[in-house]
Amino acid sequence: MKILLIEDEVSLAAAILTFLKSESHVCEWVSDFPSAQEKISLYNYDCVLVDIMLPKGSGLQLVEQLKTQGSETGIIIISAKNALDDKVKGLDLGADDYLAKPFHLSELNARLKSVLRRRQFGGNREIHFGELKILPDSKEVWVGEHSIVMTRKEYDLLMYLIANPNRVLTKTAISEHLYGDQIDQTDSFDFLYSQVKNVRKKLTENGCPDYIQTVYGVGYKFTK
Amino acid sequence: MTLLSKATRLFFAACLIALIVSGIGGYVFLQKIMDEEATEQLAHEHQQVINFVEQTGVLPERWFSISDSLWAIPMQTVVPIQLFDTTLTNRAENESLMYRQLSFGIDTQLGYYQVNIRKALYKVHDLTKALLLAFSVLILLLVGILFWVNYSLSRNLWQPFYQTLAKLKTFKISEDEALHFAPTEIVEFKTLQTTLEQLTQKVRQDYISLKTFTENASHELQTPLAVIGANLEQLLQAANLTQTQVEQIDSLLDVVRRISKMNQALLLLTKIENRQYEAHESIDFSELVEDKLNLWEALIQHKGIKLTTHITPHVHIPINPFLADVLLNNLLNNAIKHNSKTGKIEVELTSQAFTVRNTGAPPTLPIEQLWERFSKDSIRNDSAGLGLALVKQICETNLFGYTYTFNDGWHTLKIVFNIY
Repeated sequence: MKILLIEDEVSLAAAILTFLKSESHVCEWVSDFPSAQEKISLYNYDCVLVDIMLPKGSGLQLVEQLKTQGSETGIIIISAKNALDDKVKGLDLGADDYLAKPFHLSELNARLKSVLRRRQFGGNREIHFGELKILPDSKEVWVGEHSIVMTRKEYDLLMYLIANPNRVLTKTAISEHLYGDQIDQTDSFDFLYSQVKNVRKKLTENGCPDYIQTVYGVGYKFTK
Repeated sequence: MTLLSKATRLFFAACLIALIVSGIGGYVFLQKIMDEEATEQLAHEHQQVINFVEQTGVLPERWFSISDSLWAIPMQTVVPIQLFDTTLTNRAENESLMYRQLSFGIDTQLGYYQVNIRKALYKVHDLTKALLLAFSVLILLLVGILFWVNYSLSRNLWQPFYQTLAKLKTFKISEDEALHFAPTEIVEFKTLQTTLEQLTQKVRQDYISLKTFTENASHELQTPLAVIGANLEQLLQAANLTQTQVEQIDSLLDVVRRISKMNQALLLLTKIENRQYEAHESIDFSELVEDKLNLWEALIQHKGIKLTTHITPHVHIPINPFLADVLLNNLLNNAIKHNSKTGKIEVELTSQAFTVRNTGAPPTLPIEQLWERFSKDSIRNDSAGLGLALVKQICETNLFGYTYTFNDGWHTLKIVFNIY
């Protein structure tokens, strides 16, 4: 997928770029408003990651520009401003998602994948991972011929893991994705542990290999 | 007390004092003048008698040309002059009357005489009283008119002041609209209005710059934290890490997360203090509580906590929705976090109050310190101790009452809406 990153902080941009490239995306990066304007008017991207506070302009204006161009590009705002106004404004302007800094790269990845999936019209909307098959539109999980019934949280957990294969995911990152950052950590870790156990059990009982690998003391890794 | 009633009262008191003082003073003064006048008349008549005797050598036969009450008594020698007051009884009306009498000896060709001249003082007293009454009526009338004039004048004069005041009450720091005062011709009020305009403008500018500062400060802090976090996460993906290294990176990530959350909470506190979250409309608090409980139900069950709810439907509270969310998150989070194993939570919502009760160990801090920033239970290290400070700030901004009690193993946190 072709992605444009608009971010003025060099070291953050570098980290995101490395990550996106490791996920085999084609990635371009600009660090200020005028060059971002130029890029989005000249080229087409599958998704644009845009910071709100930019040198020489606001990221919200770029969102507006993309929308007036009638672009089909997915837009994710990444901003340090966790202000409600900005969030509402950004989403009203037509952004697909809003991510407040600091965020987990795996969280960005999950949201990016969900945006890209929504943008793929008529394409293959099934997700395959080894024996697993997931239909995101109907939220169905299949192992071979067996349909697996999952609770909403269990499904969300599986989707998050499958969006970030072969990566060590910290318990914090997963629990913030699932329960938000308001819940107390020690409580949510405990809860997460039991949910991972449930998902693992449901999958293996239906003949699926155990893809969830425990990284002791830190988190989990979804891998074949 | 309004300005007008205060001024009126003062005016009234001053009038009353002036009336009493001038009344008493006037009475004493009149009395004195009249008294002297009576003595002077007696002296004058005395002189007339002496003159007459000097010219003719005898006492006048027709006394009435000099005085209406004069009589002479023959004497052996010249008697000394005497002035004295005396009381006589009027037989007809049976009342005592005051008289002033001048008695003096005089030497005539017909021998020595004592001449007595008498003046009725009661006439003087009557006159004084009559004058005083007339004077009092006049003064009262004058005071009454002045009073009315003063009242209506003040009311008209202060009108622009009251209008300015009413306008000032509509001032909201978070809105851009400038204050437009009704024009007035009075210099003092004009000055007041210009000063207020300048002042409100300055306050707004300061407010905006403070707002921008806090937001920028958060931006400046969050971005470096994002850089640290992103790089640590990438580092965690390296293939040849030892278990210790993985754990070290994880604990660093945790620290980054905690700093970020603390920064966000402090920023939120500042923003609430700056009144950046105004309640524009009432929200359905019941619905919000239900939603929140649904969201956390699984977690509560998982912890083996028994949840009981009494929620009155459709309780509408004027509060900013974002703040309501923060408030509920903190209250419920505390109830879950500080609960005992297989404990209980009771949530009650009425149109007057929202109460969260939970079982748990007694607080290790004095109750009054619980609401302070960075005060936390010594046992727990994973919280910054900002939760209840946030609750307090939100309650104070929205004029809610808040109380915490601990009784028989139950923590009770109560938020009272509409304390006024």
